[in-house]
Order: sequence, then structure tokens, then C-alpha cells
Amino acid sequence: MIRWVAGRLLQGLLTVALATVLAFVLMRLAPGDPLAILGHDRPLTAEARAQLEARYGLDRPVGAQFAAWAAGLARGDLGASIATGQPVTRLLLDRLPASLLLGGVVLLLTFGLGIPLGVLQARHPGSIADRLLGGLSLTAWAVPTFWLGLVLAGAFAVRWRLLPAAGMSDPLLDPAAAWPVRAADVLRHLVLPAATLTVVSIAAVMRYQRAAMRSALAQPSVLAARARGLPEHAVVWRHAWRNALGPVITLLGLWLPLLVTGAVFVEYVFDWPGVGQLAAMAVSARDYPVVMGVTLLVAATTIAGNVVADLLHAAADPRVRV
Amino acid sequence: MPRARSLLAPPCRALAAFVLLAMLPSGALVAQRGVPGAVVIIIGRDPVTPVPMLTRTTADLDVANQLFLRLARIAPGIRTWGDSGFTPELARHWTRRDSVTLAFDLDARARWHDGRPVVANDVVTTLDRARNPATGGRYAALLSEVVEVRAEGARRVVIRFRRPYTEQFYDAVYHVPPLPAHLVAAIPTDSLAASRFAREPVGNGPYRWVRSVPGQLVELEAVRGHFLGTPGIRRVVFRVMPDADARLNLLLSGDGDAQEAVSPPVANLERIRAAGHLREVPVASGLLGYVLFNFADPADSSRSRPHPILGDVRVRRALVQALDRTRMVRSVFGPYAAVPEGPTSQLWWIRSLAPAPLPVDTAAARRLLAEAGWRDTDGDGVLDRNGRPLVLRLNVPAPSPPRRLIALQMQEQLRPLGVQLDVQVVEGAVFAERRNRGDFDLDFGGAVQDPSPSGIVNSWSCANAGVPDGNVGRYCSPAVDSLVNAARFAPGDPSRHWREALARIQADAPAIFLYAPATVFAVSTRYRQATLRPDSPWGDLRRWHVDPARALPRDRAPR
Repeated sequence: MIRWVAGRLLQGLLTVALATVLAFVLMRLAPGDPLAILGHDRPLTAEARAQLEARYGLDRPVGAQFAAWAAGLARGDLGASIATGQPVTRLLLDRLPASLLLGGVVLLLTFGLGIPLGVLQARHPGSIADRLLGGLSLTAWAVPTFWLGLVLAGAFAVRWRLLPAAGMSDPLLDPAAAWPVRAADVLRHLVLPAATLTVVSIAAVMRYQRAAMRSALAQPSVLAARARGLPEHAVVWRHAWRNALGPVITLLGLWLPLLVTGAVFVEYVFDWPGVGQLAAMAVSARDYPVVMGVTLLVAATTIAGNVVADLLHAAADPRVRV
Repeated sequence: MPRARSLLAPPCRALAAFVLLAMLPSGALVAQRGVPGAVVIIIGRDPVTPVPMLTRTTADLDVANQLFLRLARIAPGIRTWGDSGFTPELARHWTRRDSVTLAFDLDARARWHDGRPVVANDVVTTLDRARNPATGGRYAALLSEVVEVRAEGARRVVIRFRRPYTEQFYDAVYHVPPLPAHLVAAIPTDSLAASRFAREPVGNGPYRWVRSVPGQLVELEAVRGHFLGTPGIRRVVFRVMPDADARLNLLLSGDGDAQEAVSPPVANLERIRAAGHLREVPVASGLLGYVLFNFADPADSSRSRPHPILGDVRVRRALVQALDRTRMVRSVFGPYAAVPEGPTSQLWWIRSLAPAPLPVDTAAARRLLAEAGWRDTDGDGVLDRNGRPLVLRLNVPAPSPPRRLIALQMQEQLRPLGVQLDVQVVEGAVFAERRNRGDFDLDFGGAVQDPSPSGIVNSWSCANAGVPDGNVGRYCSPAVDSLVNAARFAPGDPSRHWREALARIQADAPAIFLYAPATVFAVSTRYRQATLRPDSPWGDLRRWHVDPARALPRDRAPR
């Protein structure tokens, strides 16, 4: 087991290294002026432009730029954002909690609701509930996230004023307010972005779970469990569901990076101050240091997600060995 | 077999609890004490360095203008020449000693937010740093005519200029508000942006710095007993939202009180009017939109060869006259934009000196193109000359919806003329790179102009031809340069020189000048005396008051 984990980590490190090299080279190959954003409102003088190019190493060959970035990385320094001048590490750390919160809640809701609904559909295939849930979830899956976000914001925030339209907290809330007050404020702001993401992503979990569960319920072991007179609840959850977990765990592994990247469109529409929003702005502005920092983070989380999924597979199914 | 309800109940209960808890209104959670007044201003970009000399964006300036006062402020007419038309701020009064010397007497009541008095040395230190090419950056060029800044006693500042010119006073008071010498003198300019002072600026304006959450907000607090009067609004929050739809939703939901640039699209104005609690306030702005002609051939890497199509003034004038600019601009900006006849935004006082616009005249445009040798010899609907079709590439930045919309209309209006316009919508960073490299036929540029028309030198002078972020279209007219120089440095009223310069620019047609819009703000109707200024939109914030009958919980929230 330890050997397996060590092997996967080594493999993961190589993958992360490859991903960062690729991202570095591709970003440099892509057209675009990384200093453009600094001259957006007030044009840069030739001297200021030369100073900035020297400060961010943009006047050096790509190889030298990568070497400097890698040396910084070895010291734990990801450089400074070209757009804001702030350290990339600080920018990521500032935004990570927001993405973890949104991504965590969405994963919890998507899997917490999607699994039982998928099981329900599998247990009553062709029923009205199955067809209704299947139709609704597919419709939700087909809806563009940003459109749904705008509609929900328009209805719940603008028209009925039940929930905040955007942001993660009320900026006028007393910073010294008790933590339950602050937590409730964040929860209010979380409802619409979390609901938007959950609605559009729950369909995948439901369909994977429905298909896997239908297959599991048809297994002889389930027939045998029923024949032994086990209660239906135990037959479904203890015998069939455990065998139907594989595809859902794979899906979970793939979606774990959502924890750190959030969702770009939703973070934009609701101005959720997460890593996804930062990444989108950085790519658009060619803010190389920030793009590299986000790439590193996402690559590492993707590898971690796969390792976690493999471990969960092994825990759920004794036939799988790691 | 258990019913479905038993399988779904636990997650549904959890979800219901989550939603109910989250739907508690925040107003109910805020203690209510007093009515101090608050305003939440929604902006699109993060104010990163809201400190004079470090400001780079409009967002930086919005915040810096609340924290730092100038010696004098420019009057709403934005006349930048001469010594009149300015209102005292840090300087209580001033005298002109001779044609090259101005003396300013500081207001003895002015204080920095740490309690220290504002003294002449603050002004001297700041201007000396700004006009030094080694430390002043772009300000050194703006203050290049200043040869000496000295203190006479604690509160008198004397500024001497190299030669007489019309904008001495403007240069002295506008570009760089004073910084506190006792806090910044020891900080090298290179380190200023990363200093604690830049993170927590100490100013002398009606509002003091409270906090910032990067990417989310900046909060300011009124200075009680400020020498210009205690502001009527105690808390000011600049809330940062990059997405335009999110900004409007926040405003319409009532969680925001004011927003800049709510239109275009014009449809937003209908939503604001329908909301009932907001009013639209158009304010003259320094924005200018134009399609720039490239005078150099983009296929020639040295850029020394004239553009094979646009090098001919007849083609450029034909393109200008073929377009119904008023119709295009109205469709995007509604009633809040004018079609400028020259590089003059609404902020420039010289805009009224520009010649009458060239009328839309497609017959004249066809005639000009025919004179230049462009005919449709192969019947494909596109004019050609010596086997070369009249095809032009127009670069448009994707982040600018007005420019995208107008570009498509231009394409349609030029098609019947036999001109094929290839519209290339590209990311902002790509657009800027192509622009600075001269890699375009037509470039849909936009500028934010300072109040002084002297800025015309940056984008339209021979000296700046080919300079990145400068005159990228490489238009060069020694006659225009000479007239602009005369307007800047000849004694007396410079209007005549400006009029001639603008007429010459119109005749040369270096660009299709499309729109000079007002910035449309939306402001909650619960504020009284809520005026906005062209030079600094939120500059009158200290005069705003909340109507007590319409105060919200956030107006009473403690700080």
C-alpha cells in the first residue's frame, strides 16, 4: 500500500512538472501583451514599459524565464502578479478559502442528493418519478451555467430580494460581529452560486448512479439477499449500492479539482472571489505568474483527486487492490 | 419495500435547513445605532495602488481622489488654460508673481489623517520626486516645464516654470496631489508601491483609509471635522465586481448604491428606470472611441513603407464619409454620446472648436474611391486596384461590447460601397500586442483622456509615431504638430491654434472618430445633493447626504 502511494505520488509529481512546463510554453506561444492591462487606462511610457519588462523578466528568453520561475518555486516563491504586483502565493491563499467553500458545498450537495435520487430512479425504472427526475436532471444539465446563474440572481436577488446578488459577504457587516452572524452572512451569499452549480451538475451523478445501481440490483447476490429475507433498506444500501459505487467514485475523483478551481462562470456571475475567477482574469490578461500558480495548484489537485478516487475504490470494493 | 420519502428525507431536511438559515436577511443581523450614512459604490476593477504617483487605473483614481486633495481643483467646465477656473482645496489662495512663477498659500487648517499639518515641504517633496525623470515615471514628462519648486516658510509654495505657457496652473495643481513628506520621504520610489504607506495610505482628504480586501472591496471613513467640512456620508465602500451583469444585479437588488458606466447596453437604462429607486446621471467623460488608420504597411516589418490602401487620404476620407456614425453610435450609447470631429472627448474644452462633422455622403465616398483608382473590375462586389481587392482588417478588443457592435455595423455599411471589412475580435492582450506592433489595417481604439488637450501629442504627433501606447497609427503632420505647439506655448487664448489644428486633423482623416460618450452613472435616489464631477466623478461625495426618511440599515451600521 505504501509502495503504491509512493509510486502514485512520484507519477503525480512528474505529471505536475509536465503540466507546468506545457502551460509555461503554451502561454508564451499564445499571442498577447502581458503589460497591456497596465496601460489600459493610462498609456505606459516606453521607459515604464522597459522597466516593467525587466522587473517581470519578460525581456529574457523563454528558457531563462522558466529557469527563474522554477528556481523561485523551489524557494516557495511563485512570483508576483503582473496586473496587481501582489505575490501570487498571497493571491492564491486569499482566494482558496472561497473556492474550497463553494466547491465543497457543491460536491456535498451534488453527491449527497444525486446518489439517493439516482438510487430512487434505479429502484423504480420507468416510473413517473424516474421519468420526471430523468427529464428534469437532463434539462438542468443542458442549461448553460451562466444563464441559470443570471436567472436565479434576477429572480431571488433583484426581483424578490431574498438573497444577495453577488459577493461572498456583506461589506458593511461589522467586522467585529460574532462568528454566527458572519457565518450566516456567508451562507446567504453562498446559496445562489451553490444552487446554480448543483442544479447543473447533479444530473451526471444521478445518471451514473442510476445506471450502476440498475446493474447492481440485477446481480444474483441481491436476489440472494432478498431470498434470505433481509429488509429492503439493507438489500439496497448494504448489498447493491456498495457494488454500484465505482462509477460515482470515478466521477468524484474527476470533480475534486472543483474544490480549488471553483467554476469560472458562476464565480463571475456571482462575483464569488475564488480561484476560478482569478484564473479567468489572469489568462485573459496574460498574467503569466498567476496563470502558472493556478496551473500548479490545479494539476496537483487533479492528481490528488485521482489518488483519493483509487483509495476510495479500494475501500468500497474489496476486489480492488492498491 | 420502503417508500421513496424515507430514502430522500435526510438530505432534503439538511437542504431545507441550509436554505432557511441562509435566507435570514442580513439587515436583521445588524445592530441599529445612529444614522451615519453609507454608500456602496460598485466598480469593475480593483483599486490596487490608490496613491498619487502610483495610480494606474480609474479605480485607483476614484479612491485616491477621496484620500488626497490637490492644491486646487478644476472647475466643472474643465478649462485647463489660464489661472482662472480653479477652486481652492489645499491651497487657500495663490498669486502669480510673473509669467513663469506661481505662489500658493496652503490652508492652515489642512491636516494629514495622522494629525500632522500639511506643510509646504510636503508639496515640494512630492513635486520634486514627480518631476525627476529617475523617480517620476510618466509624471516627469507631464511636469517637464517645472524648473523649481521651493518652500517659503511653512505654508507657501513657489513654483517656477521654464517658459510662459497656457497650462502652467493646471500642471502645477492637477497631476500630482501632495504626499506626506514625513511618511514617504524616506521610502525610495521603487519601494513605494510595496510599502505599508501604499497598503494603508495616509491622506489629507475628506475620507480616510479603513481597509481593503483585495479583489473585493476598499472601505473609507469620513474625517470628522475636516477643514472642508465633515462629509455627510460616513462610510464609503468601493465594491469590486469584474462582471458587468453581476454589477448591475447588485445595484438593482439594493445591495449597491451607485455604479459607474451602467450603459451601454442601452437596455440597462430601462432596467434602472424600472427599478424605481435609482436615477441615471450622465457625466462628461474622457472616453473616446475611434477606428485608427494604419499609415504604415503592416506587411513591412520596418514599417517604413506607406500602407498600400490607407496611405491615400482619398480612401481614408471616403471611409469616413461612407459611414453613418450618428446612427451607429445612437444604437449603442442611446442619447449619451456625441460623434466627435477629431480626437476630442467630452472632457476637453476644445471640443467646441472642432469643425462641423463631414456629412454622410456615400456618393462622395464612391467618387473618392474611384478617383483613387478603386473599381470593381471582376464583378465580385469588392473594389480592386491592380489586382488587389479593397479588403481591410479591423482589430477589435473582445472585452469591449460597444466596439464589437459598432464594428459589425461598420462592416454592413461599407459592404455596399465595395469595401470588405474583416472584423477580427481578439482578446484584450492580443489586441494591445497587435496595436503596439502596428499589425493592423484598422484598429478600433479607445482612450481615456486627461482633462488637458495637450495630451493630443501622445497619440497624434510625429514625435510619438510608432511608439507603443502612443501614436501607433503613425500619423504624422508637421503642420498639426506646429499648431499644437503654438496652442500650448503661445501667450493668450489658444483657441485659434486649436481650431486650426483640429481642422487640419479632419482634413487628414487619420481615424474615423466615432464616439465621445458621457459616462452614465446610476445613483440611488435616497441621496440628497448627489452630484458627480467630470474630472473626478466621486469628488463631491463629501457633500452627499442620506434622506433620513429613506435610510437603510447599512446607513446606521456601526463602524
